[in-house]
Order: sequence, then C-alpha cells, then structure tokens
Amino acid sequence: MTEIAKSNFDAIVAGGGLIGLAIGYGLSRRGLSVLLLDAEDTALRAARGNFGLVWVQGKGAYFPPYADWTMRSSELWPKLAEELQETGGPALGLHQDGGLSICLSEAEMQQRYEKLDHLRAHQNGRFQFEMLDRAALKEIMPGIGPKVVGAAYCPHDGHVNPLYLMRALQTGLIRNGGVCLANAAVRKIDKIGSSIRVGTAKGDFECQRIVLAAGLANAELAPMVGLQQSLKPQKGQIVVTEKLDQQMPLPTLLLRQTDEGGLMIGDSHEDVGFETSVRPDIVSGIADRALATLPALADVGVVRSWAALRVMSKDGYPIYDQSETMPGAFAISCHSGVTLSAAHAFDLAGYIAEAGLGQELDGFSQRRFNV
Amino acid sequence: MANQHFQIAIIGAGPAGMAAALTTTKAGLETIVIDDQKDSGGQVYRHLQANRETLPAYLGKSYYEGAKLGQSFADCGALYRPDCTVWQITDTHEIALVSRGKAELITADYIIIATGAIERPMPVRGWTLPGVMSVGGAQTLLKQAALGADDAVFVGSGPLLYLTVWQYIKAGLAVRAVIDITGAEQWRSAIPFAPLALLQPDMLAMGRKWLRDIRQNTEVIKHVSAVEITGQSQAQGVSCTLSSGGKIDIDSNHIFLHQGVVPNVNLTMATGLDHQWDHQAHCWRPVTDVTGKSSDEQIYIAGDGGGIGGAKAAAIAGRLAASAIVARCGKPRFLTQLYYKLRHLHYLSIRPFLDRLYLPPVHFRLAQDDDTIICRCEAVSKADINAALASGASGPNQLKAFCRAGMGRCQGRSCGLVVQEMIASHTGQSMAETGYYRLRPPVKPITLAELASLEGPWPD
Amino acid sequence: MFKSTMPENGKIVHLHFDGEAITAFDGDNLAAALLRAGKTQFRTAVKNDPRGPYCMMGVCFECLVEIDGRPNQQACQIIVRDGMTIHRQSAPDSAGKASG
Repeated sequence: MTEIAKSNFDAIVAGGGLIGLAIGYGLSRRGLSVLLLDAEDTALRAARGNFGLVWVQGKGAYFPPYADWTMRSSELWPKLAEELQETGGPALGLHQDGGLSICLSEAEMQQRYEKLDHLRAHQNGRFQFEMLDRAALKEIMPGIGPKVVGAAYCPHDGHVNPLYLMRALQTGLIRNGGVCLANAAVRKIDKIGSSIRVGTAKGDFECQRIVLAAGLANAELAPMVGLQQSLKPQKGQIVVTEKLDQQMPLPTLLLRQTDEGGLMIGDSHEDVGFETSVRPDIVSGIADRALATLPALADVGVVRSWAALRVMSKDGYPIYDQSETMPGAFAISCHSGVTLSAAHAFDLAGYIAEAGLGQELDGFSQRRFNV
Repeated sequence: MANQHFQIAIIGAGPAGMAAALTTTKAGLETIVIDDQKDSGGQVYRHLQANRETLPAYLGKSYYEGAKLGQSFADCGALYRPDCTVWQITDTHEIALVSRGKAELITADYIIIATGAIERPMPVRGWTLPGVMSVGGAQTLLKQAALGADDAVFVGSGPLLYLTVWQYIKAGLAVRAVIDITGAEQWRSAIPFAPLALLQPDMLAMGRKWLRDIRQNTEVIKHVSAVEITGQSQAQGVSCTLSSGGKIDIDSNHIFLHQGVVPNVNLTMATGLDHQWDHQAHCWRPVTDVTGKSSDEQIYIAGDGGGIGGAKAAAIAGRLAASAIVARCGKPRFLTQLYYKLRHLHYLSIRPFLDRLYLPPVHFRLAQDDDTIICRCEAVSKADINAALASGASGPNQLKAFCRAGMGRCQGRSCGLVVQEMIASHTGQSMAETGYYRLRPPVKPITLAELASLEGPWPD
Repeated sequence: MFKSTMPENGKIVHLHFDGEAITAFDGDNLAAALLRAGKTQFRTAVKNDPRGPYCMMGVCFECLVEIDGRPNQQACQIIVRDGMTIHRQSAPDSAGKASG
C-alpha cells in the first residue's frame, strides 16, 4: 500500500491540504501524472481546521487583485462541485445563497460598510452587498439576540463541507491516475539534469514540475527551489456543536450550520506562534458571541473544539511564485484554501501545467514584500 | 482566571481516586476530588454506600470489600465534588469543570487523573439495537437498581463477563446462554504466563468458581466464529456461527456484550500527555513512571486509566501516586512508597496471563459484516470506513475527516480502537504507527451557556 | 423484561415518558427506571437508528432523552424527580440537505 512502483511524474505536489489537493487534482484532470506528498496524520494541517466558508465579502477590499481572484473562484465553484460530485463520495454541501456578517454595534456596522463600499467601488458593479438593519435581518434570522445591530449581506457568499471537499479532491486525483503518499514530507529538492528531484523519507522521486503547497512548512521548503515565502502562523479556535434541526438559512462569518446539522462557531485571531492548544477563555468568548447572536442556542452542547494555525503572509493575501533558478518549481500559499479551491483547481493548475503563472497573479508574488 | 487553588486535585472518585485522597489528606495537603457520578465508588463500587443498607448478596464479596475505602473517603476531609464534569485540563494545569450549569476553572499544584476504564468496543451486526448493552452496563443495572434481564444472553469473554453472569445466577435470574469467544489460540499464548498468575491464587480461585457456577447453571457456547444480533426496532435474538460451520439461534431481547476493558484515555489524551501503544493489552495507555507520573511533571495517573489492573491494584496505585506527590511536598516516606510499589507489582502479576487469555480474537475486534455500525454516534458502517480508506485516508484523523467516524459526542470511546485496527490492517502499519484520533476538549459535551458562563463578554 | 432482584419498596415517584404515565422509586437512576418500565428505545439517532442505553456509565451517549423540554440529557446520569416529563428524541431533521 505504501510502496509505489513509479518514481517519475509530470508533477509533484508537496502538501496534502486544500492547496495541494486542489492543485494536484487540477493538474491530474489535465492529464498530468501527479504525485502528492503528504506529511503525518497528526501534522499541523490547517486544512482540517477550516471553517468551511466560500467567502467573498470583504476580501481584497484594499487589494483589487485579491478581490478579482476571490470573485473568480466563487464563480467557478459550482463547476468544481459538480465535477467532484462525480467521485461518488458524500455530498459536498455547497451552498452559495449568500452570507452575513453580524454586527454587534454601530461601530462594527460602520466599519463593515466602509470596507465593503470600498470593495464595491473598484469592482465595477461585479461585487454586490447590502447593509441590513436589525428589522431587515430579523426577517432572515428571526432568532437574533437583542445585542445584534444588523449585518452585512453579500449574495456571493456561501459555504461547503471542507473535509468532504478534501476527500473528493483526493478521490478525484486518484481516479485520474494520481498517487498520494502519506508520511512522506519533502526533505530535499534539487535539479538533476532537466528534471527536479525530490527526496522524502519514502524515497526519491523525479518530476518536471514541483508545487510547494505545504502550508507553514513552505517557509522551509521555498529556499530549496530558490524562492521565499514569509509565512507566520495565526491561531484560530473553533467549536462544533451537536446536530440540530436545520435552522440557519444563511452562513455567517462566525456561525454556520453544516448539512449534517452541527453548528460551527468561531473564531479567534491569535499571534502565539506554533501553538495549537484550545484555551477555555477563548472558547468561552466564542460561546458568548454565539449566544449574543442567537440566544436560543444556550442549551446546545459543544461536542468538540479545536485550534488550527492559519497560513498567514504579512498582508494576509496569497503568495504565488515560480522559481527563476529552478524552472518548473512553484510555491503556493494562502489562508483561504476553501474559497480559492476552484481557482486553484482550474486556473492556477492551468498556469502551472503550462509552466507560467499568468499576469493576473503578479501581485501575489513574494516580491511585493521586498519594497 | 481560576477561582480556587488546591495543592492536589484528584479527578475520579473510584478506588484509585479515593485511596489517593486518603494519603494526601492524611499528609495535610489541601485536596479536592472531582467526579462526574453522583456517588463515590466509580464503576466497580457503584452504588456501594446505598447497597450497604439492603445488602444484595449476589453482588459478591469483592464488591463489598470496597465499603471500608468508601467510608474512609467520606470521612477523610477532602473537598468532594460529585456530579461535576471535567471537560479540559490546560497546559498550565487549570482544570475546567462544569457543575450545575456553570463552568469553573480551578488550579492545582498536582493533579491525579483517576478516570478509570471503559469497555473495549465489540462491533457485531445489530449491536446498536435497543436491548443490547455492554456487560458493564448490565452489571451497573444490578448494582444501581437491582434490575436484571430475565432472558439475557452474554457474549464475549473476560473476567467482568464471568463475574456478571455469576452475579445474575446468584440473583436468581435465568441466563439464557453465554457465548464465550475465548479460544485455543488465547490459551496457548496465555499459558506461559500462568506461573505469574499463581502469585494471586485467590483471584484464580474466584475465577474458577465463577466459571464452574456458570457451567452448571446455563448453556455455554464456545468455538464461535461469528455473532450477529437480529431484530428491527429492538434486539430479538442472537445468531452465532460455529467454527464447525453450524449455526445456533437464541431468542432474547437482552444481549450483553463484553470483550475486555481498556483505559479511558480521553482526558489524558486531550490533555496532551504522552501515550504508548500497549502491545500486550492491545490498547493505549498514558506513559508513566512506576509511581504514575505522566509526561507532565505535575500530573499523575492512577488506577485503570493508566493500565488495567482491577480495583485492588487501582487503590494501591492511588496510594502510590499520592505518596510520590506527598514526598515532593516535603514529606518523603520511602518505605511506604516501596511497599506500595511492591504491592502494585503483586496485583499486576496476573495481567500478563489475563491480558493474553482474554484478548479477543481479531475477527471479534473487527466487525465482520459490511453493514455493521462502527462509529455509533455518527452511524458510520464498516463499508463507509472502507470507502474512506479507498479514497486514500491513511490515518485515523484523515479518516475521521473523510467519513465522520469519531466526530460524535463520545469522541471515539466506542469506535476508536476498531477504526485504528481497520486502518492498520489496511495500510500494513503497526497499531503503534497508525496512531489514534486527536482528542480535544471538551472531553464531554458542555453547553454554550455553560461555556459562556466561564468569562465576561467577548473582547472586541 | 427487566425484573427486580431485590424487594421493591421505596417512595413511588411519577414520571411521564412520551405521554405515558410511569412509576419509579425515589432515588432511581432514570435510565434504569425506564428500562424497568419496559422501555428499551430512548431515541432515534442519525439515519433513523433506534437506540437505547448501552454503557450505563455516561461514555456512550446513547441514552439521550429530552427531559422537561431540555434535549440531549444522558438518562443514565440522572436521578428521577417526581413529575419529570421525558420524551424520546428523534434525530435532527437534516433530511434532504445531507446524504450522510
């Protein structure tokens, strides 16, 4: 099961999270032979800590390329979902009916409005949103608590089951002839003739293209291909409840109901290094805000919580680069792995397959930090 | 953030926790004992104080031997908080607990985790039907409520099963059948360790007595290769396939399953303590030194939660861990500690024999039918898990992500070991290499209101 | 059927289970009281599975019932109270939205 016969691939993807899987899948559906290398089952794994939003509102408000890229991915998502559904696994549960970000004060409403208004301005009508006052919000979510002032509604937002997404991408990749190797983190990358050689604990492999999609580990791997990725971990904590009757018509930024019925509730943004413990004070604050939003959830049981580390660049936008010293080597990282899955699987994989990142992604190079 | 501070916090008021409290309070250390049940005694001595009034004799001598410990515990001066659930221990030794709808944090210099054991899952087709219970559950009904089924079929192996059947017989209940899955393979691997077991002749004699009384009072079926429970909305019967090829069907609405006990590692794993795969006992246990000190300098494990040993071993382990802590607080008692270490070893001398004799055969550790539910909480079947494995899930956490096994309230207590073994068997890795679910707080569910009650409003 | 193995005495306590009147004894464990009354199914879990108490020690989460309006109470961890109203609970309705 863990021994593989082949050692030569068109492309090797280092990292089996959402970035690696989406790109690996995207390459495989274009006919490339793909080897996906994954670390241990208990490695950091940002992808498994994901909230599951396919979120547009606010993204790239102050950085138009990111807004464009996010919007593009959101528009491609139905196509990805349809294709992946054919892998036969559990339903992905993609819903793109819009989303809300709940505001608990007038100041929050104002802040949100300014940000989204700015975004609307540079998107030339492509991006829509509406500020809902309390009365309007109550029509959508009758149970909102007295502290809720209103919300920003965006029709482009949605959510999906991020874990079933990973399963579907992996199944799709395997069906297209791709190979996935676990416990095989990359240790060494060098050139060998016109190919790239990748060394792992499970042996050496060769390829024409290597995609570094190892999350926070990209910081270590990127120099091996003559690139740099300045990444820092940003901790976020989430709690999940027991299953309830379907009662949330739309996902919100901090509270969404899965198709299975459980509520996912976030979140936090902590700068504490590589630390993934769950803190009772933080989850208590998360619970507090959830009850301010929907007081009727008081007796709902939390069945698990977790902390995961977002893969954060200095400005929070993706870093996409291709190496000049090692042609065929790419380094890809972002913290919105779910939302960008479609753009990664279709557009980005296309660029990588043709060995050239498109102009539209120039703004995402690490070079932007060197000014 | 913490409300109260203690020198010692003991989690669990079974024999290990109670015995530990006797030692720490005698040494004058401020002790709190937290337990999620309403009365002390854990599971082995469940409802003991109440039963001392009516004295159901069928519960047997060893049960009542716990009375003295329970009484001494009640008098020892520890702050005892029953009906109180610990849902997390942080890496700064805060203990998060919930009691009567409110969450609290307490801190302690030392923590003794004595949360005991759970039964090894026994996934057979139909095991989720109403009327099917674990043997431990059936025994608890006898202890707690003097209730017994009148048509019980017991399936499995192990001392707890034989004891409970014996108790049923002594209580005058007609046991329909005992389906014993212990086979020649188990005997062969256990016999070399029988001499060690002879260090505890009274335990062996007790076991022989149970088995003899069982043979004389009910039908015992052996050499069974498969078992399934039939019924639609409740259990209607058991159908066993014999190794010889025949079939025996038994009607019953009450089927009790048991194939051993394993440490309940949910709190210790969620706390981030090191664990090791115990090859002999085929289960996980926290890594500890001989006194029970875990990989965390301030946390000790005592009792079955650190490795199965039974009630008497648990009590000694509680004493041992507590003495080690008392010594670190400036009151070393070398001879006492040595005495506890030796007694502990003595009680554990029977384990190599028992662990091997009652290790369930692999075809009972794993489910045999594709439609057998493996993860009870999420109703994930063997077929579902195999589909996730085919999708490339290579470890328990990836598998959990792919098919939800392990995502329910019980956090793997009913499925973890089975899933782990299914993965190991599929990938060819050892059980130790395969690993286990990553367990997280809350170790038991806690409501949003209880969680929110811990601190003030969301810091913006 | 579950039978008593000791003489039954003690103060009688009245409960309701899915509208049916049930008697129990003061201090009874709720799961035990319901089993004594012949109720083995306490709820319907995901995929409409009928479930009842299994472990009696609070680790399996199968014995969940709704008590006096509050759902997801582990019956094996609760002592009866006179007048308790208990309902079997059904799996949350996620039909049509989820496949698993």
